[in-house]
This record gives sequence, structure tokens and C-alpha cells, in this order.
Amino acid sequence: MIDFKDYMVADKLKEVDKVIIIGSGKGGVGKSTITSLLGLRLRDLGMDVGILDTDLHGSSIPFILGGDKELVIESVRGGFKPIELHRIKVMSLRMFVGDRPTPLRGERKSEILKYMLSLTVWGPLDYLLVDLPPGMSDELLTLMKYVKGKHIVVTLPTKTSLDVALRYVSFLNSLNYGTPIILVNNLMNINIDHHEVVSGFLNEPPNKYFIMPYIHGIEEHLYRGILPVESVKIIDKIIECLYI
Amino acid sequence: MNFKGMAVHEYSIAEGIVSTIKKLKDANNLISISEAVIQIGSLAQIDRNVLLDLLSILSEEYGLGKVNYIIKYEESSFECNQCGFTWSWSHVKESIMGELCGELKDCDNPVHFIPDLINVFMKCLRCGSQDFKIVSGYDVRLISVKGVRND
Ligand SMILES: Nc1ncnc2c1ncn2[C@@H]1O[C@H](COP(=O)(O)OP(=O)(O)O)[C@@H](O)[C@H]1O
Ligand SMILES: [Mg+2]
Ligand SMILES: [Zn+2]
Repeated sequence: MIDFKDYMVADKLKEVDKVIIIGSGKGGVGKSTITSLLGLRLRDLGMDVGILDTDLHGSSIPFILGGDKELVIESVRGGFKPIELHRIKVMSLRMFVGDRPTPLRGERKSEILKYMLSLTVWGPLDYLLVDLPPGMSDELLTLMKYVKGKHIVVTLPTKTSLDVALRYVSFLNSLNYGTPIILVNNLMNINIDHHEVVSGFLNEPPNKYFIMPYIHGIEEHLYRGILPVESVKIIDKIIECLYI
Repeated sequence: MNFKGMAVHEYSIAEGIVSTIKKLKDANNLISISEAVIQIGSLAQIDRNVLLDLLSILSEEYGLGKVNYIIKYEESSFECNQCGFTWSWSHVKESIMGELCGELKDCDNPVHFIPDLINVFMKCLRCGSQDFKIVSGYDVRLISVKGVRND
């Protein structure tokens, strides 16, 4: 058997210049939020940006970026069109399943993701951002088969979250993907600069890490497609670090 | 949810198949392609005749000339992972399509685009679980391609 979807994926990504993959070991650490911040900043810099939401059980990008109205899937030559939210192209399973629960086994998830990759007609993009679900499972592994990109690993400044994040990083390092960026998302708004857990875990080179501050009202900003000013400095450093 | 644009999806699938055959032809240094066997599962709701027409039009467009396309249609069937019950697409088609397309009976819908999404829209007829496997007639598959080699 020949899986023609394999061949279609490459065609679909032909016009995509750079790919950034945002993952983490754990859920609720801010992956989708960071993905959205990156998207808005790159858009503000004049780039054409797409976001592929691969969280099949809890897809939240459309929601975060204000697309919680009825989502229309429009089929076009080659597959279907992403929706546009605040001038960012978005493809998410939410467009297909609405708010239904999605109990899916691993193999099914891989196939669904393959369909999303082979049928989404992005057109030319400067950046495709991929928002991953938590963990190192089917979504990440399937994605890696088809897409080479730079990785950002998001974590909270807690022992348990950092522990999992560093395992994720060592998995990526073992594949020679280049050093992924670790982004410590300071959701609990603690003083991280002198935080022994964080420095204890991350002081070892070559890990490159940044700290995103807690941002009050971040959800309202993102919903309206506005980048919170507090995030700009860090997001710019990340972009610079990923592609120079 | 709202889905527009009938048969455009058949076009996308046909183009995916034909462009893949073209790549295989080039990669294997073939002079011509004589035959391709394609399997369609009923779940994918792909119109066989529409697909055949599109395949032959696109084959000309892609410079493959006349290819004998053999389409095998397979009824989709399912087995519950929780209670073991088995059933087929024809048992449930009407009610699922009613739910997906309303009065239209047939429309661009999530399962047409991504057959694996059937687990989101269907439940085991016995125990109500959404945890079931597709045992036959899954999506559109390119089973085999025959051609003439250049040597
Ligand atoms: N830097 C931040 N400042 C304030 N709130 C944040 C920040 N990052 C994330 N959040 C909030 O934390 C919650 C979880 O974030 P989310 O991006 O959905 O996590 P994940 O995608 O990893 O599951 C959301 O309510 C989000 O608004
Ligand atoms: Mg998320
Ligand atoms: Zn059952």
C-alpha cells in the first residue's frame, strides 16, 4: 500500500519557510498562550503566520484568539482553508468537531494529524507555528516525521514541571535537532531570578532559557489580537535566538 | 459548524493520488503507468464515479496519459474495543449523515474530510462507547501501481 498522504504533506509545506514547534512535558503550562504571543508578534513584524493546533483533545488556539463563533470549514482545491483570526491563519481540530469530546486512541490521532498536514492549504507562510499537546506521544512523533523545525519547550518554574521539560529537551537533543529553547513561564508570579529550583535545573549549558513574566489580563489581550507589551521583549529575544 | 463546496474534496484526493503516482513514476524511472488500484471505504463518502472521472482528467493533466484505474469499494465496519460488538456503516449511515448534514443527506462533513473522526461522531450500537476500531473499509487508499520500466 502506498500512503499518498505522505506525498501530499511535502507539497502542502512547500511554501512554508520556517517552522517553530511549541511543546512541553505537561499541560496547562502556557504552550498555546506562548504560541499565540509568538504569532501576534511575528504578524506585527509583517510576517505571514500560520498556527497549526495539534492538541486534538483540548484544541484551544481558535478560542484563545477570539474565534469561538461558528467556525466554517471551506474546501478548496487541494484540501481545506485555514480560518483567519487577527490576520493569522489557523488550523485546528476544533473547526471539525466543535466542542464535542474527542476520545481517540494513538493511531487514530496520528492519522488525523496526517490528514491535517496533507489537506491544509496554507499558501505561502514565513512562519508556521505548531502548538503541541502535553507529552511526547503520537502528535509530536508524527509531526517530527514530516516537519523539521526549531523547538521551544515551555515549563512552569516548579520542580515537577522542569523535571519533565528537561527530559523532553534531552529527547530533542538526542535527535540532533539543535538546542531547543526552554521557556520558563512564570504563571505563579514568583521571583525567579533568585529561585533555586529554576537555577539549579537550568544553569547547566548548553540549555538556552528565557523567562516569560506573569501577565495580568493576557487572555483579554489575545482574544482581541493585541500583544501585551510586557511580552514583547522576551518574544523578540526568542525569535532572534531561533533564527539568526 | 458549516461545510461548503461539494466534490471539491474528491478533487483534492484525486490530485493527491495522481501527483503521487507521477512522483512514483519519476522516482522509478518508468516510461508509462498502466494500472492503479484504489480502495475506497464507504465511510469516506467518496463518490466512485466522480473520483474515476477526476482521476482520468488529472492523469492527462499530469502527463500520465491513459491509466487503467481499478476502484474497489469496501463497506466500512467497526468493532467496539469495550464490548466487542460489531456493526457496519450501512447500519448507521442514515442517522449519522442526518446528524452531520441535516436535511441535505449528503454534504462536506468532518468524516468525509477525515474518516478517522468517526469516533467523535458515532457510538457503539450496544454499549454506547466511542472507543471502537475500523476493521474494514477505512479511507481512500492507493493499493498498487503498475508501470513499464525504462530498460
Ligand atoms: N505568562 C502568563 N501570564 C498570565 N497567564 C498566563 C501566562 N501564560 C499562560 N497563562 C494562562 O495559563 C492558562 C494555561 O495556558 P495554556 O496556554 O492554555 O497552557 P497549555 O497550552 O500549555 O495547556 C491559560 O488560562 C492562560 O491564559
Ligand atoms: Mg494548549
Ligand atoms: Zn460497545
